[in-house]
Amino acid sequence: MRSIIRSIILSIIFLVIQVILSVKVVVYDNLLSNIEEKITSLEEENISIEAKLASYTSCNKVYEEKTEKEFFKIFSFANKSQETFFFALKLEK
Amino acid sequence: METRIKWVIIFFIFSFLLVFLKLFYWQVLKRPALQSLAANQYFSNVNLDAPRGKIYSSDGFPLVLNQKKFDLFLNLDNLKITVDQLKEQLLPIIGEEEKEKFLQKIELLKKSKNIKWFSLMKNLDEETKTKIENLKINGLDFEEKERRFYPEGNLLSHVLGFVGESEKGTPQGYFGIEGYYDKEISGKLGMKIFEKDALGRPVFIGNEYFEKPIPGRNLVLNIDRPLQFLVEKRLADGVKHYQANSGLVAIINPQNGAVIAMAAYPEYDPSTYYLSDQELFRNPIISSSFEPGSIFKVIVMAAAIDSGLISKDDICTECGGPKKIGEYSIKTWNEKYYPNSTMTDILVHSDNVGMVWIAEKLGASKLYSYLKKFGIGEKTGIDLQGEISPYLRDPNNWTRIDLATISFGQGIAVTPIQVLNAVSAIANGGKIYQPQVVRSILSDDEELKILPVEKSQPISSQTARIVTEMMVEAVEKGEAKWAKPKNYLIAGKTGTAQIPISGHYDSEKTIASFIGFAPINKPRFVMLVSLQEPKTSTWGSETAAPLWFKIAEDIFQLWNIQPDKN
Repeated sequence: MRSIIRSIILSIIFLVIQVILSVKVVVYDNLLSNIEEKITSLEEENISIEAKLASYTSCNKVYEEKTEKEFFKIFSFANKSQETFFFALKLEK
Repeated sequence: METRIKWVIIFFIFSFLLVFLKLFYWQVLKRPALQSLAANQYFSNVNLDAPRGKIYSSDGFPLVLNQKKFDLFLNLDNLKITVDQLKEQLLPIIGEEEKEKFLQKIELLKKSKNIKWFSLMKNLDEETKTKIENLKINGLDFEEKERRFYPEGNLLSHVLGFVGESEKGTPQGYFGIEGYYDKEISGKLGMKIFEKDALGRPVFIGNEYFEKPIPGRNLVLNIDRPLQFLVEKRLADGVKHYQANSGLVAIINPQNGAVIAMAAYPEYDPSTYYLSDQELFRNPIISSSFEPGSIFKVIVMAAAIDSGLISKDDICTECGGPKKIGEYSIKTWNEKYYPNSTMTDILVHSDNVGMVWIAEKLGASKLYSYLKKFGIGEKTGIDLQGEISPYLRDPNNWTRIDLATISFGQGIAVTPIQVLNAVSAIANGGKIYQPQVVRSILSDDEELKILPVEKSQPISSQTARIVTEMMVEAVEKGEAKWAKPKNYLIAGKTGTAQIPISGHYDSEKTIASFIGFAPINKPRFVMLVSLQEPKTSTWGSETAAPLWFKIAEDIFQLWNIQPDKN
C-alpha cells in the first residue's frame, strides 16, 4: 500500500515538474520572441532615424539654409573630423 | 483439372508480378518526383528579401539607404463608397507633388470597367500609409516594398547607378557602383517553408523551416561628399554659363588612384530612373570616347622626353611655319608660328607643328608602346559598370598623317578616365594606378579595405618632374593664365578638340577641356574638366579652364591647401 502511495506521490511530483517546466518553456519562448520583436523594431527605428538624420544634414539641405561661405566652414570642419561621421558607422558594425 | 489449377496459379503469379512491378515503379523509381509533388501540396515557401547593402561617402555619410515604401491598391469588390467619395477622402492626405498624378489615376479608374484590382498610388511613406489606414476605407490594400533612398537626391547619380528588377523579378543593380558591386551588396535571399492545409492556410503546429536572409554588404566610397556637391553645382552652372550641350568633371588622387569626385551633366534621379532618358544612365567619363585634343600633348611630350630622344631644352627646327605632310598642311591653332621654340614653348603655345616635330622624332612604334604603357587602348579597370575602351590601332597601320594628328590629340579616341589616369602618372612620379571608387567593403564582422593597385610605370620620376615643370609654365604663360587662382602653382594644359562629323571636322563644334593637378610638390588631386560644344567660346582656355580653376579654388578652401606663393 505504502509503495502505491509513494508511486502516486512521485508521479504527481513528476507531473508538476513537467507542468512547471513546460510553462517556463512557454514563458521563455514568449520572452525570446518579445526580445526578437524588440530588436527588429529597434533596427527599423534605427534605419528610419539614419534616413531622417541624413536628410536633415545632407549637403543640399545645408547649402539651402546657409550661405556659400558658411557651407565651406561647416564642411571644412567636417573633413577635419571625419571620425565623428564614422562613429555611427562603427557603432553599426 | 490439374492443368487448369496450374494456369490459375500462373495467372495469379503473373498478376502479382505486374502489381509488384507497378508498385516498384511508383514507390522506388518515381519516389523523388512523387515526394516533391506531395511536398508541393502540403508545404508552401515564401522568399524573404535580403536588405541591400548601403553606400557611404568617405566621411561616413549615407548616400544610399533602404526605406520601406508602400504601393496602394484598390479592391473594387470590397469598396463600399463611390470613387468620388474615395477621391474626397484621400486628396487631403496626398502630398502636393503627387496630387496631379493621383487625380489622373482617379480619372483612369472612372473610365476602367470590369476590373477587380486597381493600382492607385506608388511609393507611399509609412506616415501616409498610417493616415490612409486610419480612414478605415474598405477595399484599400497595401503592398510593402523596400526601395532605395538617396538622402542627397541626384548627387553622384552617374557613379551610383540604380536598382531595377532582374528578369526573375528580384532587385538588381544597373550601371555604376550598383551594377559593379551587385553581388556584394545584394546579399542572399532567405526562405520560409511551412506546412499548409487543404485551403493553403499555414498549419499552426505544422513543421516550419526558416532560413534567415543574409544582408548585403555596405560600401564606403573614396568620394569626398562636400566636394562632389560643389563640383556638381559648379559643373551645372558652367554648362549653362558657357551654353554647352553637356559637361563632365572627374577628380582622382594621383597618389593611389582613389576617385574623389566624378560628375556628369545633365544627371538623372536614380530614385525615379524609369522617368529619365536612358541615354543619361551611361557615365560619359567611362563610357564615352572622344578625341582629346591638346590635353593629349602632355602624354606625347612625356613619352618623347622619357625615351631620351628629346630633352626639355631642345630647339624645334621646323616650328617657323605650317608643316606639309602629303596633301595636308598642319597649322597652329591661331596660325602664329614660333621659330626656335623649346619643348616648354611648344606646350605653352600649344603648338601643333612643334608636336608633329616631336612625334616624328619619336616614331610610330615607340609612341604606340608608350601610349599602351600609359593605359591608352585598354580599360583602366575602374570599379564601375559600363567602362569601355576605344580601339588603339596598330602602329603598322598608321600613316605619316596619323602619327602627326595623334601627337596633338586628334585622330585618336580615348575615354576621359583614360586621359585622366595617364596624366595622373605625370603627377605622381610616373606610376599608373587602377582608379578606385570604393574604399572598403563592410560586413557584420569584417572590413575589407581595397588597397591601391599599381599597374605600371610608363615614365621615370625624373621625366614626370620635367613634364610637371613644363605644365606649370603652360599654365603660368598660356592662354588661360587670366583665370588661374592667384599665388597657387598649377600644372595643367588646355585642349580644344574638333568633333568629327560625317568624315570631316566642324570648327564650330568642339570639346573644350582642361586637365591639371595641384599642389605641384605633392599633388593631391588631378582633375579633368570637359565641356561638349560650348557656344560662348569654342576654346578650352575660355570655358573649361576657368571652370577648372573655380573648382580648384573650392578644393584649396575645403582641404585648407596653402598657396605656393605669398
